[in-house]
Amino acid sequence: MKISIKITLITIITAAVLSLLNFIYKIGYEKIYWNHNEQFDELTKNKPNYDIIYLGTSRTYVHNNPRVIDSITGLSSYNFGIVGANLLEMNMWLELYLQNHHRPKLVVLELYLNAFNIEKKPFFDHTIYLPSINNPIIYNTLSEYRSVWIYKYVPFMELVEYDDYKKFTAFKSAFHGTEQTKHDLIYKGYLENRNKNASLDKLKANDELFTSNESGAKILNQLITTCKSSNIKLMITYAPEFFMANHTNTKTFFYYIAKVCAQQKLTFVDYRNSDICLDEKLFVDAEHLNKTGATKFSIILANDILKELKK
Amino acid sequence: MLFNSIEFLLFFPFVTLLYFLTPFKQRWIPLLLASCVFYMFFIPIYIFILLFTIVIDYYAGIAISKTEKHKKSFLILSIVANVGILAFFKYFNFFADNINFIAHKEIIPILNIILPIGLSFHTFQAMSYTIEVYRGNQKPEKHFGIYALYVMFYPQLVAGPIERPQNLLPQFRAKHKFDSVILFSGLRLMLWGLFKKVVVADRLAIYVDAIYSDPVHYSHYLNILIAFAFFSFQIYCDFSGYSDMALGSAKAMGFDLMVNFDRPYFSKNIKEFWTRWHISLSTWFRDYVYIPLGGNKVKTGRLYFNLLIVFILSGIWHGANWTFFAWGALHAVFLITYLSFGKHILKKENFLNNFIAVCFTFCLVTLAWVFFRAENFDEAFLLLKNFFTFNQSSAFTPMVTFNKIQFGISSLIVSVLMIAFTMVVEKLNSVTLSNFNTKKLGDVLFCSLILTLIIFLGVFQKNSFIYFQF
Repeated sequence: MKISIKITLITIITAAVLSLLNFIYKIGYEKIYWNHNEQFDELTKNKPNYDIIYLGTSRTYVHNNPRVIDSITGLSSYNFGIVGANLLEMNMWLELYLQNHHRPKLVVLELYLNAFNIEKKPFFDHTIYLPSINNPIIYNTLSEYRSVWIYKYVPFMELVEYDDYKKFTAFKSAFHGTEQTKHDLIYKGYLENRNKNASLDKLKANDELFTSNESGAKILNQLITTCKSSNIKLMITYAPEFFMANHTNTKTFFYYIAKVCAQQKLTFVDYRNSDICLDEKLFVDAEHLNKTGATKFSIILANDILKELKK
Repeated sequence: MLFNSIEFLLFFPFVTLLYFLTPFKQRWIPLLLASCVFYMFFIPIYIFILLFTIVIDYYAGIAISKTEKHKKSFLILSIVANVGILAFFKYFNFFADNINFIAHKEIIPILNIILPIGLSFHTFQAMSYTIEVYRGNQKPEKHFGIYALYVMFYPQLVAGPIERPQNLLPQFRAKHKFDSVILFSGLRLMLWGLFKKVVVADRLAIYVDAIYSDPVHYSHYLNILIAFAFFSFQIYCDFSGYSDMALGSAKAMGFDLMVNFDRPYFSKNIKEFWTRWHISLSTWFRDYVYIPLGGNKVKTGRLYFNLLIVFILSGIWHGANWTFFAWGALHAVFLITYLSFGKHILKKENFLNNFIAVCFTFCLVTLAWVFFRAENFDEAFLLLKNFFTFNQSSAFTPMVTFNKIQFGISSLIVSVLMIAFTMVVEKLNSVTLSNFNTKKLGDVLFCSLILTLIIFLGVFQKNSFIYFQF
C-alpha cells in the first residue's frame, strides 16, 4: 500500500471516529443540567426577557436568589453568575445576552478581586464555550486569548480540551436513555449552597491578590459604555464575605472601583459592611454564603435594587 | 523544543523535507542548523557551552590520533573539560549545600544556575567519542560540522539515546535515499512514543504529583500504592516515549539510533532489568567505568564494590541529590543480592515462576523509584512508612487534585486500561514496532487507533519530559 494512501486512510478513519465521538459527547453534554449549561441556554437559546440580570462569579450564583429578589421587587431577574469569572467573561455574557434579548432595566455586576486578572487567566474554564464556538461573540473573545480557530474548522479537535470527567459524564449521559432531571437546587441560575458550615480557619481566605491591568480596566470601561449606550442601569457590588477574611492588597482594588464609579456616576455597594458578614453560621467559607445567608443577603440586595431603580 | 509541542509538529516535516531536498554532501548543514534551533528553544545562550565542549573534543580527538606520547594528556583534557562543565552546572550547588550544612554556615555561596538542558546526555556522548578515539576504536572526525552534528543531532540531543561514534558518525556520511516505508515506520514509532507520553505518562503524572506533593494529606496506603505503581509506568512511558520519538524522527530521515528500552518491566530479575532499561546509559557505564574497574574478572568482593560504584555514579548522573544516590545504591544492593542468592531461586522456567519473577522484579524497581521521585528523604520515608504500616488514618480517596486538575474514577479507569494496552502492544510487537506488516490494513487501523486515542484521551499541558532535567 502506498504511503500516501495509508496516510489518507489513517486521516479519514481517525476523523470519522473522532467526529462520531464528538457527536456522542455533544448529545450527552446537552442532556446534563450543569448550572452553566442552563444559564448558557438562557443566554443564547431561550428568549424570555428579564428586568434584572446578575453578572459575577460563583458568589453571584450562590448568593443572589431570584426567587427572593423577584418577590420583593416585583420584577423578573436571572442569575448569570459563573464560577471564577473575571471582567472578560462577564462582558462577553452581557454581549451575548443583549444579542438575544431586549435590554434589561438593570445589570448587577459583582466584582471579585480577580476581576481584572485577565492576562493571567482569561477564562476560568474556556471549554464550556467550545460547543458554541460558531457564535461570533464567543469566537472573537476566545480567539483574542487562545488559539481556537482549529475548533471552528475541525470540530472534533475540541475533544482535546475536555477532561476525563467531562467526557465520561457526557458519554454516560448520552447512553443513559432518558434525560437527567433538572437539578432541584437550581432556580433561574441561582444554585443553593448546601455545603456544611466550614470551620473558622477555612473562613479566613488569603489567596487572591488584586492586580489592576490595562486590559481589565479597558473591558470594565467597555462594559460601562455598553450599558450607558443601551440605557441600562449598572450597579457594581462587592459580595459579602466573612469579616475575618484575610485578603491582602484590597485597598488598591476598592480605591480603583470607587474611583471609576465616581467618575462614571455609578452606584457601588460594598457588602463587606453588612451585618451578615459577622455571623459565621451564614458562611460555608470565607467568601460564600450558605442557603440561609443567601436568603438574608437576597433581601438586602432586593431593597438596594429598588433604591437603585428609583434613582 | 518539546517533541509533544505544536512547534515540533511544524519543525519536523520542514526539517525532514529540507534534509531530503538538500544535495547529499551538504545535508549536514540543514541538520546542524535545525539542531541548533531545536536546542536554542530552551535557553539560547547555552549553545555556547555546547560549542565550547564541541571545539575542545574535536581538537582533542585529532590530537589524540596524531601523538602517541601525549594522547593520554589530551584525553584527560577532554574529560576534564566535559566533566568540569557537568560538575559546575549540575553539582556545584549540591556540593556547596552539603559543605554549608556541615559547617552550619554559608561558606560557599549558592549560585543561581539553571542546568543546561540534556547536559548529562551530550556530555557523555562527547566523552564516548574521545575515549573511543583514544582506544583506537574510532578514527578522529576531521570534518568539524559532522563532529558538531554527532554531539548535537537533534532527535537525541536533549534526552538520548547516548550514541557511540562507531554507530552514529558513519551514518552522517551514508547516502540516505527517501524511502516511504522507512519514513512511515519512523512516523509510526513517533506516534507510539507520543501516545505513551500524552495518554499514559502525563495522565499518571497528575495522580503521582498529587500524592508526592502532599504526602501528609494523602496518607492512606492504597493512595500511596497507586502512586508508587503509577510512577513506575509514568517514568517508563515518559522516557521510552521520548526515546521512541527520537528513534522515529531519526528513522524518518534514514538514521538508526540505538534502542534504549526493551520492555524492561517484563524482566525476570534485576540483572535482566538493567539490560533492558536505559540501555544506552547502562552500556556506557559498563564500557567506560565497569570494565576499566576490572569488570567481572575480579574477586567477588571487588566485583560487588565495582557494581556499587557504577550504580552510585549512575544514580548521581540523574541528579545532584542524595535521593538519587540512594536510588543507585539500592539498585546495587538488589543486584548484588541477586548475584549472591537470586540465581538459585525460581530456577525452573515455567509460566508461574516467570510470572512471580516478573512481579517481584517490578516490585523491587518500584520500591527504588520512590527515592528517585521523592524530593528528599523525609518525603520518601514518610510515604514508605505509611505504605508499609498500612496507614488508614486518612480516608482512601480515588479522586485527587493537583494544580486544580482533578483525577477521578474515570481517569483511574482510563489510566489502568491504557497501561494494560501499552504493555500488551509492546509485548506482542518488536521494540520499535517494526514487525508490522506494512502492506496490510492492520497497520493503518493500528495507527488510526493510536491517533484517535492521542486526540481523545491525551493530556495536553505542555508537560516537559522527566529526563530533560538530567
